Amino acid sequence: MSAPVNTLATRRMPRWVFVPLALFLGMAVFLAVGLTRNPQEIPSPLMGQSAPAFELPVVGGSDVFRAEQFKGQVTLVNLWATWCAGCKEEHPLLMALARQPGLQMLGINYKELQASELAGQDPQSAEAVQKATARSQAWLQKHGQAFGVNLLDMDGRVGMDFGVYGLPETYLVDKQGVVRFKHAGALTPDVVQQKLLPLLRSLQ
Amino acid sequence: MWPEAGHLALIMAAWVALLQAVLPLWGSLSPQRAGWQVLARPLAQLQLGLIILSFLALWHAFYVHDFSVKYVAHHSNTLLPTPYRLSAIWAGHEGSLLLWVLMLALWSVAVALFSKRLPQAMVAQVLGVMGAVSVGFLVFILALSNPFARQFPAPAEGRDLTPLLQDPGLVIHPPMLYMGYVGLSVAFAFAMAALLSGRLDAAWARWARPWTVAAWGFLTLGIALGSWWAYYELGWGGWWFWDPVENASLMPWLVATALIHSLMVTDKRGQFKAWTVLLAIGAFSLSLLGTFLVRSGVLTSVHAFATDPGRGLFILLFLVVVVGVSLALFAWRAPQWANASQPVAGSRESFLLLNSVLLVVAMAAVLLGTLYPLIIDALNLGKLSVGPPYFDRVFVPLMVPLLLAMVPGTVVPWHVARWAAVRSVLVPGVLALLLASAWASWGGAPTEQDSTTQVTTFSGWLTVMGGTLGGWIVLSGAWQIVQRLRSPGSPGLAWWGMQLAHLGVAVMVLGITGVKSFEVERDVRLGLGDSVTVAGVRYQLLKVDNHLGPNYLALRAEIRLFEGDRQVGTLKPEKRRYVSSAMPMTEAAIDRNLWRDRYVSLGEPLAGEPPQWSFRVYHKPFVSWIWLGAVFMVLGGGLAAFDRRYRQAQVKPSSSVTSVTVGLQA
Repeated sequence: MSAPVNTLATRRMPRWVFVPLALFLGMAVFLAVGLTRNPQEIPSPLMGQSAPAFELPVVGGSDVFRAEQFKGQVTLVNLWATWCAGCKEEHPLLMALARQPGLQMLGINYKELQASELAGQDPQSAEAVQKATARSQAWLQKHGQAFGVNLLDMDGRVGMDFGVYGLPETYLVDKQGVVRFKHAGALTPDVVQQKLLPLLRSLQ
Repeated sequence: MWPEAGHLALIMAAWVALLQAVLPLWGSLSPQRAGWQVLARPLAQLQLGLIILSFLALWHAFYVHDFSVKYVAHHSNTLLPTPYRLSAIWAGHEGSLLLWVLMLALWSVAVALFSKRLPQAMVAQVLGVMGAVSVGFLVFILALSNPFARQFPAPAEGRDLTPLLQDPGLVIHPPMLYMGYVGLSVAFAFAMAALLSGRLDAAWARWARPWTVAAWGFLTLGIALGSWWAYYELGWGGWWFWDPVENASLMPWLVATALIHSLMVTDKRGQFKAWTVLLAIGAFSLSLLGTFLVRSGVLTSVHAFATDPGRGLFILLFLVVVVGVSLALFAWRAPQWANASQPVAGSRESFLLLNSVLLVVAMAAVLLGTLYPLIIDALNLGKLSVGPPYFDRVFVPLMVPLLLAMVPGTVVPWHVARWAAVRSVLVPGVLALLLASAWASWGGAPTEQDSTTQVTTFSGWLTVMGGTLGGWIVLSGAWQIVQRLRSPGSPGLAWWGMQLAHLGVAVMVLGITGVKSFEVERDVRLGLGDSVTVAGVRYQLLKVDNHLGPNYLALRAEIRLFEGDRQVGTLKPEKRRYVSSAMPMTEAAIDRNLWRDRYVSLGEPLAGEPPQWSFRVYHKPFVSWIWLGAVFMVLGGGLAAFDRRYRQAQVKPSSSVTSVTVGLQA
């Protein structure tokens, strides 16, 4: 939009009159390309790398889950919490994914008790863990048991290792334990249909 | 029943808009069908009636909690207080668009009513173009964003309005902003009429001026309200974040500001014709671009709206058709309007040209910063974001010459350079420089003991320069008013409007300078009884307790303010947790007067014994001046829009006289 105003008038069309149109059309091309991209796809440094090593207690049991257990089957890792609105929104999709054969569903309940609730209490204390466990289980009871394994990440250290940006976040880890996919924010049917499922098929 | 009626009314409105777009335009271009031109006004009125009906139907659904309507269920619930229930209509995508077309229909009818003295062909063309824009948006609503869509079974309870939007500021911010965005469609339609008919003379500019100023005023008010809301509601004490959504409203504002000045030159001197038309197209195109950026989700923003690529594609196609066609028409017509004469350096035209160029360059800088992440992503060069440092660094140096040109631009005569006139405003300039230096040295020495935690940014040159520029504009404005009152005749409302709006700019510049130079921000943790001293005032935390609102639970702190031993106020910041969503909301408490704000926001409770809470304690001098300045600008624009001169019956074909020819026809 920077056409010079006082160009000498000529009978023929001077070239400057096309400048605004050309600039605009150039911008429109970028906007069109931009539409095909998703700003929510935040590149993860983990992509193509091994999932971080960790060890977390399984909710409602005495078992422990280790990162080595990723090996051998494709795993969907979902970071969630009962206080997260987007998690409730995407849960029906997770329930549908749980019915996919050959996919291990792993939930990591991230910082179930937030700083305000802990009020100085140690997040690993028996009392805090008990409270979080009860809440986590009740929520899954109500909205559906989507996770084969549900873990408690009370102090959020594992979430931090995954580079969590905001809840919910979903990762796909292949049979070798390598992170192949990341989605920040609630899953949508489009993402599942067009990205997750094709990738899952190729990994199996 | 009601929602279906509203939906039906909207479908009918789309057909009426299509007739409004086709018939009058056709009539104006084909002599055999000239009679069709008279249809423009009744069709615009009918379209408004149908859209109002549709709007009322949606309002009714919100009022009676009809959660079978998906949009209502998503943005309201039974606990929501009635005023917010009614304003929730523009909380989401679908309702916002409905508001958009309602505004467009209102502006169309306003043009239909107040255009008695315009040639019939021009009325037909202006309303036809506005009808075409309306068709695009109505089809978009009906096809991709229907607010009346039902869901069965209906949920027993709705999801609630986003807590961020449950605030009086947000009740009126979107309608004002949309009035501005959509109002620019009138200037656009006038430009299209000029392109179609080839008629672009002083009379055309004179007709377009009050409409453009009115739209600009609404846009100014809308942006100011948004900034004010962000200041007290987000709890960060900032008033402008260079967020993509804010930029989307600033860009049309910058171009509209250039347009109202350029229109004056076209009106008074018959110059800058092609440039004026281009600005009119640009201002509205940027409104559409803003709608695209906000609604398509191509950019991430704190305003995080729901995204849908189908919608983005539609708006982009619409944008390409509207802007592409208008710029192609421009390329066809513009050569005949190009003047051979250059404005004389030092004449009023030359200053107004500088104004236009600087404002458009500023817009381009904002546009580049806003789209840069998108461009980089599209070229597969990675993902990044452009932050406030870029915008501050680019924007401020562009505004300085603009403000410098503002004063001589209002005193020099048209057509000729008369440096005597410029020299006469240099006295107030020097006076302003002295005052600003005194002001800077008075406020430049913060008395804070603990300087390690202080985040004040004090840069002396910025303070002196901002103070000088602001002071110069105020003083020379006052000087001009005194001079003008001494000479005979009344200057007219437009002149007073200009003075008031320019005063507003100065007040805003002083406000920004004051707050940027002298603000003190402290992030502290306080336990009960603890206190912190900021800018000479001691803030003592008295208590923190729970407080129950209509649909939220709040943690409320009570803080007493002391100057020495004297209590000077009490502030009660809150942290609210709305029942329907877990998202915590900050309600900052502000003790404000004209000279400074004392701002406290309550953060998170901190672990430890005894309990402590984090607080932000801000001292913000002159911050109210930012919005006060905007209010002056809006009032000035209002005065100018009502100048009697714009409603005259006949204008001499080429009025090159600067003196006001007062027409007595009301």
